[in-house]
Amino acid sequence: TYNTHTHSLSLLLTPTHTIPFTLSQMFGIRSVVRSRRALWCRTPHSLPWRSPFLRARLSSTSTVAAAAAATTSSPTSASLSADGLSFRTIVGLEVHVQLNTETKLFSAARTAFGAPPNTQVSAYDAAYPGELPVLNRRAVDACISLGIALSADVHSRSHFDRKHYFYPDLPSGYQITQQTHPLVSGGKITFRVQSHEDRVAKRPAKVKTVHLEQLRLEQDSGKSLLDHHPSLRFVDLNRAGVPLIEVVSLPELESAQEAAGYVRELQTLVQYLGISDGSMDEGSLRCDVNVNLECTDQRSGSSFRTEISEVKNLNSIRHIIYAIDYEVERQMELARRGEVGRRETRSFDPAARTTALLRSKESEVDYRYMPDPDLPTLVVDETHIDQVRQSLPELPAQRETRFREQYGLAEHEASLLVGQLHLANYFETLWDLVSHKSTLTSPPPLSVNASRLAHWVSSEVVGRLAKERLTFGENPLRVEELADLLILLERGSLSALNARTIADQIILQGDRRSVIQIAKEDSLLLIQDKEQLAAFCRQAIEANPDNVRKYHSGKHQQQIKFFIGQVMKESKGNVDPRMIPAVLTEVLDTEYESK
Amino acid sequence: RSVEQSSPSSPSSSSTSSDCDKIPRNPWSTQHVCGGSSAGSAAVVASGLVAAALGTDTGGSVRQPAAHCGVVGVRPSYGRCSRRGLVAYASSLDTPGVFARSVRSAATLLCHMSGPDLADSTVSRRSTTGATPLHPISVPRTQTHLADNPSQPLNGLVIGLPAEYNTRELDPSILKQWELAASRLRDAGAQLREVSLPHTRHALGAYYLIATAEASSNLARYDGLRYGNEELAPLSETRSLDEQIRAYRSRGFGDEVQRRLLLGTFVLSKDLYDNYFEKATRVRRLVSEDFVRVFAAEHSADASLEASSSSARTAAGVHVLLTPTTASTAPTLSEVLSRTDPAVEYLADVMTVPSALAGLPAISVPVGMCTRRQLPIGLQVIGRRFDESTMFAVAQTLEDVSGFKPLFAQS
Repeated sequence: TYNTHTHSLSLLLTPTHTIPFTLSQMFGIRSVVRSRRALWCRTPHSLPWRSPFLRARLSSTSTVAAAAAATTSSPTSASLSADGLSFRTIVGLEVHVQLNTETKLFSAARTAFGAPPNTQVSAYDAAYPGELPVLNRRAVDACISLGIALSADVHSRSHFDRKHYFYPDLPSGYQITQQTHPLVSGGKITFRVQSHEDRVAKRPAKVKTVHLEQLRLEQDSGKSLLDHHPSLRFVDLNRAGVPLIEVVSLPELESAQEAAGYVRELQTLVQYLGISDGSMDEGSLRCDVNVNLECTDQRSGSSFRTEISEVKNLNSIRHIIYAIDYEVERQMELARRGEVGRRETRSFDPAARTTALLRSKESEVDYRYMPDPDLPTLVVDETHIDQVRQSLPELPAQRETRFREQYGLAEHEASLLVGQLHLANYFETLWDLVSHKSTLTSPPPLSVNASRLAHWVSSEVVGRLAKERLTFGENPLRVEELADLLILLERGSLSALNARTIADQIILQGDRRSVIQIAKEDSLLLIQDKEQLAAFCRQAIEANPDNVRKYHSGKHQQQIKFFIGQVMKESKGNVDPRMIPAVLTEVLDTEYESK
Repeated sequence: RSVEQSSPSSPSSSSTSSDCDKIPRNPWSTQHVCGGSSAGSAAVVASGLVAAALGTDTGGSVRQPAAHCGVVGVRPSYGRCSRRGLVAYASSLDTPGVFARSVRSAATLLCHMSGPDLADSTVSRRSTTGATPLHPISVPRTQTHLADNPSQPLNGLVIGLPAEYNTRELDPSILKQWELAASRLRDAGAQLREVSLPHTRHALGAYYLIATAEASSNLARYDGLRYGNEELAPLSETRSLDEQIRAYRSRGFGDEVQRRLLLGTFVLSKDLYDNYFEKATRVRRLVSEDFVRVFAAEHSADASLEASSSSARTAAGVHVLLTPTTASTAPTLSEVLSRTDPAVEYLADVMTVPSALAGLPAISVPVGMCTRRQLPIGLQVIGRRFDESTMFAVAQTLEDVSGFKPLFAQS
């Protein structure tokens, strides 16, 4: 509504307000309006979030900020009365990482993704009486390795608890988790806070460290399918009992973008450790967010906090951002009315990008935690923890440092590649191939430009895959082929345009020929044969006798440039432009001497 | 005589009563019942229908009906036998148990039932005090099982008599049998010692809190959604999930079971957990420590009593305890059905619960009859954790010296 516009608007423009959006944090309050307008006017399509509040605010901002008369003026913009409240967002995350062990946490049933419903269920998973849990050792090792990678404390003694509630996809009526004495506690994650636009525009990222409360091992529940029938619920127990590690952070995050950065870093880390795909699409990583605000009255200095609301089961980074933004706004509205709200559990509606109440404190479930009597204390000795520590693979931070030192890549180049394990691996394989192949060319061996390789991998290839909606696993451009392509490019046998054309052929058109085949058969190779080049030079020279005279009269630079252009025209751009000057000069000097 | 073998709606009550039309009757007198909860198994063994039977002993569910039916009932140490396949009631207390008509049969059967199982994480592969391997159970020979002295088979053994088991409610005939048995065992070479287990009177309360809490957890899976008796509450498209589950469980569980589930759930609730459940677990530890204090130290690597020399047995502790199994003989059916206070039923477990809380092995051996009522009386021998061999040795001697005549001759 109109009033909502201006009400929020007045908050926005008053300098005393600290708006809990990344932009204001990055650019400073004074420039908020200008930069906001600049960013949003320039790229209205690439907004990272579109809450109904913001949409309204958008149009108002861009017009009010304009000095000239606006299309829709807001008469009450003059009443920028300060509510006098400044807000600080407080976010805590609980991320559930589904492990990629072969079998479940307490039974030997398989865990493969995408199996037909109820085909990976043991008697224990279905809670048949008489069956008992047997702990999966690999799951424990996975949790230990994650704990070590996060600089946390791995406890030598921990135990499992039962968390009770009735639900069809929880066959035994309880979930086995670690409530009081988890395997790992403490630890911290360091990550970059940067939106995708910032990263692509190569703006430096803010680095933040968030401390963790604990990592706990627990069982996943089955799946309830509610869309298959109007009144019946279908239950698939394939997922029941699959191991999860729940990573619980302290409430040190301060914005939706920070939360996004945290989750991305965690995704990367678990991929590198090889303990999980970390894929939110496939459900191997899920997130619950806890959001509240600290509201300070600017005049009196007193502050209060709104009640924490928990939004459950967010399964994409975008949803996390939308949900946090919506919650922040909802709680800001409450706070302005002087209310603190209630402690709530909420669900997220992806279509409307809003959250809705699931449960309030009054109808909170009492889980009746009880130590699980079927599982003795888990004892992990120091030597075992050391063994796990020794066998950790290279972690993202280490790899990034190595990419910068070993390949001389810039920070943003390295971080783009390292951010996804398969990209980094692809890059390194590509480098090895190109280095090797470049020594085979004669003469002399080419220098390999790491930056160009990085650009090709993270921009050219990834960009095309995104266009075709292919995952990296479905990439048709094999690394050997890309190596050939880049060697041809370095050698000058291909123009940049033609190289991209070949890439298009393979990725976008699904052409299955090799790079060399395409280049030859489609006549994309540049002419590097001296004789042919000389012929073109002669054609150009003969067509422009005046310029020859000018050349011989001393205007070498200028005329060479002119003739290069002419040679390109004659050859329709199919010659290696780097070779033209030398050949041209030779031809001019030897065959067309000054008359 | 025929006995109806029937099982209760769920493995819990002390009298296997109130929820079924067919309540197992005591073969010695069909006016009387067998006790519980493994009453059916006790009855068929006592009546000669089978040579042996299995049951689950949680707080005395095997020993109590064994005593009431005049058969041998054994509870092994917790962690001796795998619980896989057992319908779980209270996971930290359940053990598979054996009924037989002689100590030797029971020991043989238990021997074959025990050992590590990968499917059960609570089965011990080692004894709790260190690296010594689990003492295997040695089956006592029929007569003289100790090489030293045939007429004094228990020479060097110290038997403890806990004062706290001499309760006010203890039936005088049972007390008499207890004293008689003690003196006979002394004649057989054992030393008697009166000991004190001061936390015994708190054990029953702790047991009921822990057992019902664990039971409320283990029985949560019976919601009728994946398996069960369809007739109780057929799946209906109009009922909400809550209503569906509530209907099934209300109809499927009898009154006593529902009472225990409610108690267990209540005790685990957030506000009460510390004061009830957690306190109960602490009391349990105190009860266990009582036993540890009176028992002699674990004996050396040589498992059997025959092999170890007298020097290995410390003067400070006892090797086994001898107590009554129950405070009274089997109740009559009408007595049971007319009970209004459920707590009365719980009191029947008072002798068997402490050893269950401590995870100790215990065996009930029939020793004589209550002449007035013509009902059998059983005495309980409690052994050290994982020392079933000594327990069986004493039980065998007790059987030999008591001369109890079973209802049916041994097969």
